[in-house]
Amino acid sequence: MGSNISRPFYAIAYIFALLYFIAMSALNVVYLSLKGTIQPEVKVIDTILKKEISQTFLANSITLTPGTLTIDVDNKAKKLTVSILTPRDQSAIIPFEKYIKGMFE
Amino acid sequence: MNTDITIITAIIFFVSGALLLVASFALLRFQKIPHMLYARLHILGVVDAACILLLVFLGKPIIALVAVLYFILTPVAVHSIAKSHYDGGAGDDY
Repeated sequence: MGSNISRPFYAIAYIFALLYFIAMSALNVVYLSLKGTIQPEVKVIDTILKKEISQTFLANSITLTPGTLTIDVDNKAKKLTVSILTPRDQSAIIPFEKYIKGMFE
Repeated sequence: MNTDITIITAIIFFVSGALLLVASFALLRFQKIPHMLYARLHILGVVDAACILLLVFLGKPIIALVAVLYFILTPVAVHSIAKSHYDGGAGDDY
């Protein structure tokens, strides 16, 4: 992970993963809205990404996915403040972290 | 062949319209819950996804380019609203 040759493949995989997660979580938000059990909360999560550009990509991906939304990014402490529609694990909030790590770091 | 494309486009337009309808219903449905503004921004994410789908499948390349632009501009706008709400001391206002 992280060699120069594998970066374009990670970029392509990232695009497809992003589109897949956008579609899935849009359907999930629609289901939750119809069911009526939403419970928004603000949560601080850790990230393994170090560079600013990769953290920016991660924050933008989180915001593009319906149901999760980035409020703040702390570059030095490697922490993201996110708002989530229903309580869920950290791995369910940032499933694309490994693609971004392979793409930039 | 041409008819197939028309049918697929029609199905996609129907799905997008249904998503928009449910999202606009959900926007008005949830009132007086904590973090109302974040919940509404989440629901507007569904509107974003439906509009991206519409723009891509409208069949004009220049409009599909607008959809690509959408991927960059939407997070910035949503992030600005959420951050200003978070920092502005509005707390749990609706």
